[in-house]
Amino acid sequence: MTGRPRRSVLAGCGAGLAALAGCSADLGTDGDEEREYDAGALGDVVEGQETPTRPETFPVGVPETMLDRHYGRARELVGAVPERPAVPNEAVAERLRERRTRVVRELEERPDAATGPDRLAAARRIRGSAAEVNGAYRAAVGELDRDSVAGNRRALRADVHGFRGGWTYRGGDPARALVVHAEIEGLLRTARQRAEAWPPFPEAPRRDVFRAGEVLGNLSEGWAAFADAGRLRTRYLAGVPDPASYRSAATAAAHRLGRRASMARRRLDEYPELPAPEAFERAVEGTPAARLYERARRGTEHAAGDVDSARRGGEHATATLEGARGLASVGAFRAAIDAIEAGEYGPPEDAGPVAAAREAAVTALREAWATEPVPVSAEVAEPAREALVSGDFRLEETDGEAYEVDDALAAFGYARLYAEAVPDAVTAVLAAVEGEG
Amino acid sequence: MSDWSRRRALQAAAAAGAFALAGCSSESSVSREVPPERGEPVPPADLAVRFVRDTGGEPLFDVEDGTGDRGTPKDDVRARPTRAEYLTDAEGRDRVTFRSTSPAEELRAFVDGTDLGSRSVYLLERPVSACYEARVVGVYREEDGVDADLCQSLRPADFVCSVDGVDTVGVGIRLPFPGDELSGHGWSWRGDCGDLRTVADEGGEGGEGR
Repeated sequence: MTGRPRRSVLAGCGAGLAALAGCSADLGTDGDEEREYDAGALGDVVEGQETPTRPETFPVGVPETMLDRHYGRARELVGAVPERPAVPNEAVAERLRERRTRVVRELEERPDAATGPDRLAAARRIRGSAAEVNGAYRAAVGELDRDSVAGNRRALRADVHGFRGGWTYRGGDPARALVVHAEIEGLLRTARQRAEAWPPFPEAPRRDVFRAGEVLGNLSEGWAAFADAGRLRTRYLAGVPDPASYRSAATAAAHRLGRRASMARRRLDEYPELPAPEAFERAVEGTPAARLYERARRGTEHAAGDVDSARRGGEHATATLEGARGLASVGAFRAAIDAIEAGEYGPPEDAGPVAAAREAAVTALREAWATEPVPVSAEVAEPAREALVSGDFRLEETDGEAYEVDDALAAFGYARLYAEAVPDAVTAVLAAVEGEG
Repeated sequence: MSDWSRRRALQAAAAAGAFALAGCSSESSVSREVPPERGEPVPPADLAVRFVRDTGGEPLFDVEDGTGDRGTPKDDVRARPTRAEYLTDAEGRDRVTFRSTSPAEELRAFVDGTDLGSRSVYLLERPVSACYEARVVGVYREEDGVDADLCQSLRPADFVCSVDGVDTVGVGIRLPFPGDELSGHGWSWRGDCGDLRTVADEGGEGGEGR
């Protein structure tokens, strides 16, 4: 970032005019519409390449028995729905049958995921789907009543509230405690959301059986998340000899990191408010540079929003990790601006630079994941992994159009720049939980 | 933490939605639920709606098209298009001949019970699966016409019906204004009401006729 944004210079020119009237000397996008690529060569960039799997770093092991509780309950719920439901409205019966079949298939396929918490989340979702079909069926045959559903919602809300009241964020090593408690915060958030009175349970369940099913499915998933929160906490503490309470440390860390992230964002001057065409002397419209810039700009915006909402929800561990993501996203944005000002991220000649950008992203991501403490790094680096996956997706589906190539290149570029910013952000987390920074 | 990314996606979607809404409201000051090109919604309390249903799938009315030809629908009920008429005066009313079945009679009585000097009637019929009911989302008054927005929703689970059954549903909507200056009319029909708020439904009817 060598100078101030070129807003005043371009003001007389106009973003649209720049392209039309040659206001800027360095367009680099002449004949952009004709820019075409060899779709096969682009596909080869990802063909046979493995998307790096996030390391299994969650500090608490998730055994099969934990997953089986959800899958077992899902089987019971779906088993209680007849294969051919005897419901007078045949269209309702048919839809019930289709949904039942879908859940049975999901249960057979039993999705795999990279991490224990993700495997649990997948199991809870299937349990929720099974409860949804079961609830819709029971509504159809007149076995559901409004009052018991409302009571169930209230009970879940009360239990979540009770859990939060007696929760002191105990743990061993602070970095690992942070990651475990952030996961628990997420589970309690899910439980609370699923217990909310929206969508409302229908006044006449038989008239709206699928809405009734949706409410029951949500509730079941909410209870499952609540149960997992308790089990993870118990399992975690069972492996920690002398647990200390981190509640106030986490609160203070969230505050410190949130402040650091917003200060870092302020140091970006006007960039967070400037769209790509107004931010650079160089004309960047219709190039990978513009897409990279916008992606990075949005990244800082979303991270700031995530920090705010976690803090408002009293989720201190989550807010701390989101603060670290905020710092990393600002680092990535800054690096992107510098790179674009230095003339990088122009339209590539062919698939070569795209492949090179992907390779650099993979390398950077692996390095980020190797930064100690690894459980924290894996969490903070997640947006880089998501960007890499989105770039791969672009190329898998590509027709060789310029915008797809630009998008993929920008995604890989962002993945790399963000991953490179992870170690500093992780250092900031450690300092913050230890009362510094 | 597995739903961090989902949360992020939702935020992005919300932001996009807000952007689209902002775009709408800068063009017009109408409420957010109604796109500006839609016209002003007629207040639901000022509408009277009558639903009728011919379970044999027979047409409810025929319409003379001005050349002396009668718009008589084809036999296959499934292939029959939706037909809509906006009746604003006696001449228009006389072009419509109702059949002699009891649902058609009921619709005729509803139409003839309307004072076309101070009101107007929107009339529509279409094939609807026997397991679904019709609902009215709203009626919108535009500069030179009216627009009716309808949808269908599953009937109660304990209602006996076959997935193969197709009925003819007729809808009469009495509007609280005369239609002399309104020439055009249009309608839309959605296959699933989903979460839409509706102002009248076949199960309970609606408006002042409720």
